[in-house]
Amino acid sequence: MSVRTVPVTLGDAARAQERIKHRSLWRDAWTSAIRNPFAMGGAIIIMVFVVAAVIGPYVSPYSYTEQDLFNTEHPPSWDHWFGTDELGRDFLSRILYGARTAFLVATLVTVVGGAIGVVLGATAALSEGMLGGAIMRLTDVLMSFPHLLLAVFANATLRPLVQDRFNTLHEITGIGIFRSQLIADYLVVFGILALVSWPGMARLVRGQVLSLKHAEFVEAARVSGAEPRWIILRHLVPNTLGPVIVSLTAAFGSAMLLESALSYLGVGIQPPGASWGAMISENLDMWRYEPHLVLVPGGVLAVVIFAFNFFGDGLNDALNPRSRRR
Amino acid sequence: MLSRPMNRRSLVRGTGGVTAAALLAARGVDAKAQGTPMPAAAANQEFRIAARTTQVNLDPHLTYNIAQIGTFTYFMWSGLTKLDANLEAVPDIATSWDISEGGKIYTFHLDPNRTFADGSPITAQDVVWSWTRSLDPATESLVAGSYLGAVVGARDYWLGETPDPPTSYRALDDYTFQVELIEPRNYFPEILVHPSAFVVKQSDVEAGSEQAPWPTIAKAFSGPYVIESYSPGERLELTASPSFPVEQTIQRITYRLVEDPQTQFLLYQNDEVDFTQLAVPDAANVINEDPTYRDELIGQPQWWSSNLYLRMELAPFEDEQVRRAFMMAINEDLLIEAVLQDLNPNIDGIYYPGMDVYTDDISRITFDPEAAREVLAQSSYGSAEALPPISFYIAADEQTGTEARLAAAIQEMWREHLGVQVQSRVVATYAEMLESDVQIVIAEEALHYPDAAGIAYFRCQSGSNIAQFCDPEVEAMLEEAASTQDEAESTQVYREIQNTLLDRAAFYPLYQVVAFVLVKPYVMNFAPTAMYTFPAFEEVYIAEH
Amino acid sequence: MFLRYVGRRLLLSVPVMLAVIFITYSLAIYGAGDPVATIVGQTEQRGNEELIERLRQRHGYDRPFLVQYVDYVGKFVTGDWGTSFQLQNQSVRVLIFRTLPVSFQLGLVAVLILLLVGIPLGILAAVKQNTWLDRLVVSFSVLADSIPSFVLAPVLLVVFVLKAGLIDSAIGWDGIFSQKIILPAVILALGPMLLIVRQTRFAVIEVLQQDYVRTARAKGLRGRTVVWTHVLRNAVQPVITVSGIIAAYLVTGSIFIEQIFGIPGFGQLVVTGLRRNDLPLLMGTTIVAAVIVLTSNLVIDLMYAVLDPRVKYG
Repeated sequence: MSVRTVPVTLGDAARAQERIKHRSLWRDAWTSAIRNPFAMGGAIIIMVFVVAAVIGPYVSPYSYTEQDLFNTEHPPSWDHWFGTDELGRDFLSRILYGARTAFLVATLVTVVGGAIGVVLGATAALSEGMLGGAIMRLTDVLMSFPHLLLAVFANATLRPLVQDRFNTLHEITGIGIFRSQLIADYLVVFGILALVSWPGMARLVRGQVLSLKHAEFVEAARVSGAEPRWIILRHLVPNTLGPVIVSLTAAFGSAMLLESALSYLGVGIQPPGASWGAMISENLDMWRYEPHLVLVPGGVLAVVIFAFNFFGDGLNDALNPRSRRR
Repeated sequence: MLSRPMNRRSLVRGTGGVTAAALLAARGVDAKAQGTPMPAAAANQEFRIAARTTQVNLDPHLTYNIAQIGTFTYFMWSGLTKLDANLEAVPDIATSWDISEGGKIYTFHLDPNRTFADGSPITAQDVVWSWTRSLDPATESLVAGSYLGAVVGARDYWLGETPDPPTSYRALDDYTFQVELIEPRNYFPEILVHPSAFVVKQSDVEAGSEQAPWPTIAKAFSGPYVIESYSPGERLELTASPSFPVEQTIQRITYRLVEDPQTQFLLYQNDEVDFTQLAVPDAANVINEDPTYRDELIGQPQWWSSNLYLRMELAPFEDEQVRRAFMMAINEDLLIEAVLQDLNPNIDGIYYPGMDVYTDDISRITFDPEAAREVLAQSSYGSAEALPPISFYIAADEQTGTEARLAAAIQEMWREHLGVQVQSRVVATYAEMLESDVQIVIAEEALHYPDAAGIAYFRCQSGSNIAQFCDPEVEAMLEEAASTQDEAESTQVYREIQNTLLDRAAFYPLYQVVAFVLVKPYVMNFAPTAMYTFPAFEEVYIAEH
Repeated sequence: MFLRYVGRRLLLSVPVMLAVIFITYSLAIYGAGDPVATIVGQTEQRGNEELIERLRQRHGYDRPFLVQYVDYVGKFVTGDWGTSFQLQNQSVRVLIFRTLPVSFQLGLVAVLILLLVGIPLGILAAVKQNTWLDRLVVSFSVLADSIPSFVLAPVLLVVFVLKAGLIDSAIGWDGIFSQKIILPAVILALGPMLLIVRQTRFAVIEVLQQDYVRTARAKGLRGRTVVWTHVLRNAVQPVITVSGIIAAYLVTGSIFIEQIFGIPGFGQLVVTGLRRNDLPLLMGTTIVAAVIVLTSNLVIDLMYAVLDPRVKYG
């Protein structure tokens, strides 16, 4: 009697095993995340924030630039739920518009900056030759500049340049978008914020990947002949995801605060553009007399940063099986 | 429109330099006038000031900012002339002077009893050395050659075009100092109140080093106070000079150096200082809301104003009608009320109340939106749509300040009344702005010496001529007004110049800058003038409290 | 091996520093435009072309960029850091060395507060993981992190000095042992507090799950000893990890605090240079700040390598 054996390589077995583990990891994470009230609370606030950012400026009764010089610096009233600022602009509308700016920060700075950081960091860790060293030197250079200094300096010096180029571009091409000072402004500020954020992320990811490179299950997978790309996707990503997510959500907070600091020094988002940080800084000299002008943007900013932090922490706890219970 | 209760705030409105001070401050003057006895002096005559700067310019030849000059420089250094309470140039180190027939040669007679703080006499040779040092390219004074530009050879030496110091000023003997001017200038003694012409001692300056800048180790101060200690970024302490001819009651001045206006106010509230400047939001609150410090507030309009310039060499403002239209569309009262919160007085002309040449008998463009639209229609462009793109200059470091808010409000007014959308444009430096094609600018001008000749922004050669106004007739009139010794004639010509400028819609004066300060009630006889100086400081004293 | 590592790192710092100087100098010259024009532009001589040109020539700003750059680097390493335009031609080197000790002292006190408060809080949160205490501690840290220092400082000043009268005098500088340092140091410490708390908490949680902790427990060692000895040892590690960030923060975080509290420190100098594009001052302060950050990173990496032999010297 002949025994038919199905050829099973170690790799096959590992892959089968991995599929099971993979599915249950994500599912486990999801169930534990739902049970965490703080993380869920954070998620809800974030959703509200995103909705406000996207549709807010369309539903607000006033335009965020509309001035009413007869009614400046009024406290909250039925006409203006959040009061008015020093040029009589409706504060609620400006807060909603600020949500849009914050949303742009979250996506452009955190996501783009984070993506660059993750990609470069992983590359630096995984590549064997000069590339890794070169990337790390680049992060060294960027990280040697204290963030605030670099951001302030770069904003102060590059903004006029970029705005000039935009003007020239507008003259040459006639495309309307270049006429907007706001776009140039955003580009400069967010670009620089992203520039300042990515090295930290790259370092973190590199560190994580490096330590994982030598972890047992990776060694096992490699020994069994699995392809590098598969290793990255199936092993490295889920295990680095936790700290990276925490780092991303923390980066959002830092970016918002950095923008606020830039505004305080006069080089952040320029009026009439609205950002919560700029609103805080602009109105700071009146905080004793019109506290709502500082408390409202400050409070909203804090709440959203809180939400991101708790959500990120919750995700991290969920993805990391060891931290889930005592 | 909106009516407000009459209160202290409205007293601030431009009644002129000295009279406003008398209305609002000069405690002690009232008491004197009423015959009541002045409060007794306290034992400790120390005056504490919170100053909004972290780095004090101790070297008089390198001090440019009016607030710094009034707050610091005039206490430590002196020159041939000084400003009195009426903001006129009166003798200081020079007790008198003769002017030659042609008006070009000034001979100053120095006070033979006048000494530096270390006891050595102030001689004409010291004046010569000081002026040369001030003009020396190695000193890198940014303004010396401009103020002393009337002196033969000064400007060239200052710009490094001639290697040798000018010989046009010299010591005829120990106490006689003679200067030769290029053209007669009737305001030359007025110019000399500026610190770039002040007297310092050669041995002091040469004793300075990298570690110890010379003013911090100087002994020979020419003014009423000497430096006792200086902690950069933190505090400066002055004590009364033993050899100053006029005895000071205040024996010690302590400056707390803080950059942040809220911190300054806190120091005052915490009774750590007796005097501080006040930022606009805090001033607004004191005037309108919280009466706690209202009696201690002084709002002194300065000889310092803000103008709107429509640059005349750039389209569309080469057309006078367009300029008039834009100016007519500005509701200045609303600006002052809403954006400036009524804290600044309106100014209609180019001269300030309190100046000899000032007159309120002038006609200026007023707010009239219908007329504005008509005038625009009559212009060579015909309508708002035909106008080229127009941009408004914002200084790179001023984007959230008052000027930016004014600009935003004015842009809104033009949009509403003329249908013109003006863009904001950020330009990095002033020099770049001058060369760019930005058409509209708001800029401040301050008077650095008390004469109409100091207002330069409409002179063809002036670096402050943002409006690109250049008229040879006006230049000729300026020359005439500056060279005649007949004061009445000079005043007449200056007023004609003002009328010409206003008629041509060359500038739109917006408002006068006001210095808001808080002074503790036990500080007697103390108030700033319209040039932020504190004359007759010997009469200031601390009462018992 | 160790010395070779140090030597290699030091050597690698040189091109990094050169790059830093290059970037800063380019931004200053190309971005903000002429430093001379900016300075002159603030006086009534703005627009005086002759004066600007004369000063530019005098300071060499009319030379080609690379010439300026090389000249600057050469002068810098010999100790000639230029003179400040803004500050009456005082030597930049003297200014920096006068202000650094002040900021250093402030930072030192802030770090002490940070560690003495942050680490115990992190441990507490980890030991009481997922209880209300844990949430409270983390929330407090997040809150401290989400309020900018320049907002907190004026508020606390009014509260503590004016309203409550708890502190007599909080403005200015009287040295490291005076009451004036308390409030600014506390506010400075609040910034990185979240980082320390979070890192400590995370590390301690990790430790508490470890096998050897359970083993030690099983062996019957008293709970408290187990926690404290193993936990503390491991709590230190993440602190070291974030110390680099903290060092950088202390250099720049003090900018606002020094400004509001009137402290004559390095941050004040930085702001002065930034505000007016005072090139020599800006260059000097940026380079020194970068050196501080690089040095502290190097020290930290070295400590890390010493403590954790698993890390390759790579």
